[in-house]
Amino acid sequence: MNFVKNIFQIIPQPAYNLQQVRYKWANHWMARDVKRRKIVTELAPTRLRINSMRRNNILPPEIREIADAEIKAMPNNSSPLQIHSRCVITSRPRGVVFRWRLSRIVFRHLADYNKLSGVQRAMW
Amino acid sequence: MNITQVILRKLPSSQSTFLRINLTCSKTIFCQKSTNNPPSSSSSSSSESSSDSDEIAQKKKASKEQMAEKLNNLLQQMVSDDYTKRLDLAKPSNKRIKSRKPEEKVESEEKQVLNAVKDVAQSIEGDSKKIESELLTKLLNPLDSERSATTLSDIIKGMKIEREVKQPEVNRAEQVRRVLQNISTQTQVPQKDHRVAPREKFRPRPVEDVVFEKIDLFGSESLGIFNDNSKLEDGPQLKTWSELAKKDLKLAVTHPPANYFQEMILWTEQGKIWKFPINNEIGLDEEAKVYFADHVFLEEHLEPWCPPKGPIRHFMELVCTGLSKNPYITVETKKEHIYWYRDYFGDKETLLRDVGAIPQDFSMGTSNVVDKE
Repeated sequence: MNFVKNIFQIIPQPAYNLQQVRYKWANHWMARDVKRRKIVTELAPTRLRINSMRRNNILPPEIREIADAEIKAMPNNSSPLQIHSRCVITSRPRGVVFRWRLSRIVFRHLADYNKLSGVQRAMW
Repeated sequence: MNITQVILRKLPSSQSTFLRINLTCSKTIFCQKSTNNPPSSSSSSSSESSSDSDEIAQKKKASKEQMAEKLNNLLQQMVSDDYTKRLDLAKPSNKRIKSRKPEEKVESEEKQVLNAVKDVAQSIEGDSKKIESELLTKLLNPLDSERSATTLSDIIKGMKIEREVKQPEVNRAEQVRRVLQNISTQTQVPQKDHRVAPREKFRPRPVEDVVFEKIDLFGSESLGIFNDNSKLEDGPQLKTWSELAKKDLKLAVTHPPANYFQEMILWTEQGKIWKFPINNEIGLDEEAKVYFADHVFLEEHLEPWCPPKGPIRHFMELVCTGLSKNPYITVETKKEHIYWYRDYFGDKETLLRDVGAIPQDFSMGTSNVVDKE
């Protein structure tokens, strides 16, 4: 493996990718959502703390102004409102069964074939 | 019409019939014409004027001439066609026919010979087949006739041939079956043609040429090249390959559960089903070590740094209340929240003092205090 690494160090890498970049996401909307989720998980606690300072009338207004400025300085994607629930398999943005994070179609398909633990078809 | 009759006699029979048909057709047409024009017929023409009758006669003549012309044309065409057919044009000589002819002759000769031999054999008293075979052998290969003319095998050969001829007398059912088989094979063949021709199967070459020699690797003395084992390294490790090999090994060693109880045990070990006795706090291993009071009473973490009164104190008490009511986060994260506020307010200590949020004589001393973590 070292030999391979050395070769890659010697050969100058091209500016473009020789092979198409592949990832495990269903489409680019899903990839975008994943990116947002990463930022949110990183910055969510900080945002929560600063927001709790902003949204009260106990602290002096100077501190709250500073908190406002700090929130504004944060990236938009760190807001949890920006993330959208999508189907983890098909990346469908609508009709997502929240608990399973699947679209209703995938959910129904899996449930029909008894692939969802604890989910039973209605029978009477 | 006389000319046509003459030509008819000359022409071969098939063409003559064709012509006759044509002639009959023309006659019928002529008749129809006459019927279609009732004034031209004999009954009505007498009452009309002579000029009209002359005209009608002229018309008849013209029509007759036309008919004759048509017929002549037709005949000429026929004749010309016939001539073109008979013309000696340069053609590639048909080699097939030439090559075939002698074969046919030979066959016929053979047949003649065979028939003659049969006749002779039947005429002579005794076993006709035996005599026939003997005669044939003598005729066809006169050199060998002395040796094996009367051997039993030859006779039997002759008999066999006769039997084989007789065999085709079979049941109808078998015949039908054969026909069906033939049909099925015929129908199957074009289907195969549509597909891609099957590749020839790989046949290993016969190993007769290769000479095997036994090589004893460990019998003779070593050359002493690879003495130092530490210098020897493995090639590039294939991670996926090794993982798969491990998996295969595991699968080979472990047996699947013999019955349903063993399967249930396996599921319990894998954490797929509840353990008995039923416990609502199953899997809370880390959290079980933390005491309940640590979750609820968080104000002890405020004591070292928080001012005793003022808006900061008020705010931090509210934070502690909120955190103590949150069952979803661990004590560590709750402490992190409090320490973050400590650091934040510590950074803005001077500003807070100027505003009046912190008493003038109180110092938060965040730089001096060490975390209790």
